[in-house]
Amino acid sequence: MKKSSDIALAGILLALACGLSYIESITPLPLPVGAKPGLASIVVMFAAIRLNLKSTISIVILKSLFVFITRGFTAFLLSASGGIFSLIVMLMLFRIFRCSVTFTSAMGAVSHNCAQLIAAGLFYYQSLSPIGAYFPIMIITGCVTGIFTGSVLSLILKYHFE
Amino acid sequence: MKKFLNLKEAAVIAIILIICFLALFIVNSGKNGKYAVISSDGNEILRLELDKDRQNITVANAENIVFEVKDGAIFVTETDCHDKICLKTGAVSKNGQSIVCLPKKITVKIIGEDSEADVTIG
Repeated sequence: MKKSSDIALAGILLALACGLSYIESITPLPLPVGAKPGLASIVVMFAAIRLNLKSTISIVILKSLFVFITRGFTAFLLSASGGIFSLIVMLMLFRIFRCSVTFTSAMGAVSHNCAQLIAAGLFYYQSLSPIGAYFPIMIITGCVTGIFTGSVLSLILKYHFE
Repeated sequence: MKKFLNLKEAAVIAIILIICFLALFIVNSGKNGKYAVISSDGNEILRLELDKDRQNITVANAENIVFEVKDGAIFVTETDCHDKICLKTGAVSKNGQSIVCLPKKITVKIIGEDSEADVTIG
């Protein structure tokens, strides 16, 4: 296998994920409750398809550490909880259930948002009641942004593998 | 990764979206609340009547969040936190709606009259 080129690719993808998530965090968008399109998830999904499991998990964790350095603990908690949980969901859907990229990405975004909400509720309030009202809107934005990032990814894959 | 999105998957997404829009609709069509309860770390610190307009409300431990009550709704007018999620939440007025600020552990919850029943006797 092309081992060294995979390592180089992992580094490039990590840099890309960090860059995209930073640009997203400083760009105000007219989405409800501070929702973000999750451009970094395009990179993570690409890594999950193209690279092995270890590199993908490393990219997710190192990206969360980058968020910790640049944006502090709250952002880190949200990024890590959402990132790791959505990666598990996406890998299951994509590898085991053979779902399409768009669907995997949409469910990844939904699970990312839900995991963030649950982590925030449990960590800061020790209960889910203050954040319960946010679930519907976060799931809706997750579906929309996930379909968007998934469509972008399937276009990228089309040109990458053909 | 051959197909963009097959019918089964589209149906799952559609069902999730319908459930969420229904939930949103139920929350938004609820009764107007009577009080806004501002809590810090789970403890109630301030209770505001929603039918009395007030400006520049601040609470201890979180002086940089400014609340305003207007036309039966409460909203955040100013904050210095990074993501400004509390600000983007906008005005809330229905029973069960809430505003949360994670970094400062502040929540605002709208409650109705009925949860007051035990203290309004006499």
